[in-house]
Amino acid sequence: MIYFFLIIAILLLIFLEASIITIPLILIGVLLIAVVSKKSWIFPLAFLAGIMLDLTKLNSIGETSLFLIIFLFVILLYDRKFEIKTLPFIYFSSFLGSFIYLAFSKSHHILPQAIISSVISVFSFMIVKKLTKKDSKLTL
Amino acid sequence: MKKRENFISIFILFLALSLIIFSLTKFNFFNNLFGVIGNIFSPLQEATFQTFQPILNLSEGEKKKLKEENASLIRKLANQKILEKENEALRDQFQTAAIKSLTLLPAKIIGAPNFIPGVTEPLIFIIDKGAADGVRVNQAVIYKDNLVGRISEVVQTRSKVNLITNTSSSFPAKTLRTSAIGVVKGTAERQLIFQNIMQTADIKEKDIVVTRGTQELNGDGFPPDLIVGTIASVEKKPSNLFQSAKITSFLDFSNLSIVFVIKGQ
Repeated sequence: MIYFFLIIAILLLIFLEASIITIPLILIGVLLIAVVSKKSWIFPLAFLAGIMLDLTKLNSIGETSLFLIIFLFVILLYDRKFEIKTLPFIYFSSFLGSFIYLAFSKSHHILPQAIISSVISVFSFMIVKKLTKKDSKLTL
Repeated sequence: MKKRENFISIFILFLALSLIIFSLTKFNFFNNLFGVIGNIFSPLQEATFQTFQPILNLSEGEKKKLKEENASLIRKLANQKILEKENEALRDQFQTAAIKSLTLLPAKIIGAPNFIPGVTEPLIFIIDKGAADGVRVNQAVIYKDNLVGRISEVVQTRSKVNLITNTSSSFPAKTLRTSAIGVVKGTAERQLIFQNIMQTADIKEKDIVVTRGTQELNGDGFPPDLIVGTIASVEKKPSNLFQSAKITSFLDFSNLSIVFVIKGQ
């Protein structure tokens, strides 16, 4: 059931990012899933989400997937040495990831967007952390 | 140890897959396949846009009505001035002038990603017309004789429009009153920059700026006399070679829901 809601959430983020807002919502989404779950199925999820995002935004197919996969690889490598389920890590990783992604996409207002996306990541992580703490069955 | 190997091997697998797909799409492989897949999600994308756009762009009804009325009057004034000039040219027999009819293809906007919707200006549109409808790269996109942008990417049933507000947008233009020539560039804001205008050229605030015309033989490019905007301020320093101005477009790009692609004559 949780995976069903996860897929719906990812789809919604894709359409929001393609139609309404330029803040990298998919990057925030996969980062949070990777940090909470720390499982390798995040790679196929990021791959598919990236392909779908490129299809809807009419970008070169595969560029977002490439970025997301490399980003998640770095995050999970970092997990080997340090604890990543912390607010500072979420803040800095989402800020850096958003900044680099927006720079590669030749977006505008890169710095404010990166700051806002890191704030969104932090608040979303706090909500997810509370939800997973409350209900121990709710795990990814 | 086993977990680490799986992690690395899955990463390498999907990295290789992404690289292959990225490389092949550069050579136009999978275009049709991805076009079909994209079409499946197109109605969902449109529904998302239609749902959220009115919520995020709450404008006072009366203010919006006045803005549209103002834009309509400016358009009529611009058309009148263009007709006057053409009449004069025909009378003088120094220039040939012909009113070219344009084939317009209406297209719905299904995506207009924006930093802060309703506050900042979008820089691209995704529209629901593509190669199957005769849309090509570099075709002009307009709304009520106002220039919106240029087609930059095309797939089977959708296209991407590079708006004139985009910093990558640049095209020659002139003022309607004195035909002062310059180049209009986007600034990622609602105001555009009109630059490279000769110091001796006569421009002033409230002058209407129109496109100069960069149309190719097949009809692609910007036709002449499309309204770009009105001059909001002039920057003229005697020490500079050129003068510049800031232009405000009459269009509220955040509130557009339909545009027209110029398919040529």
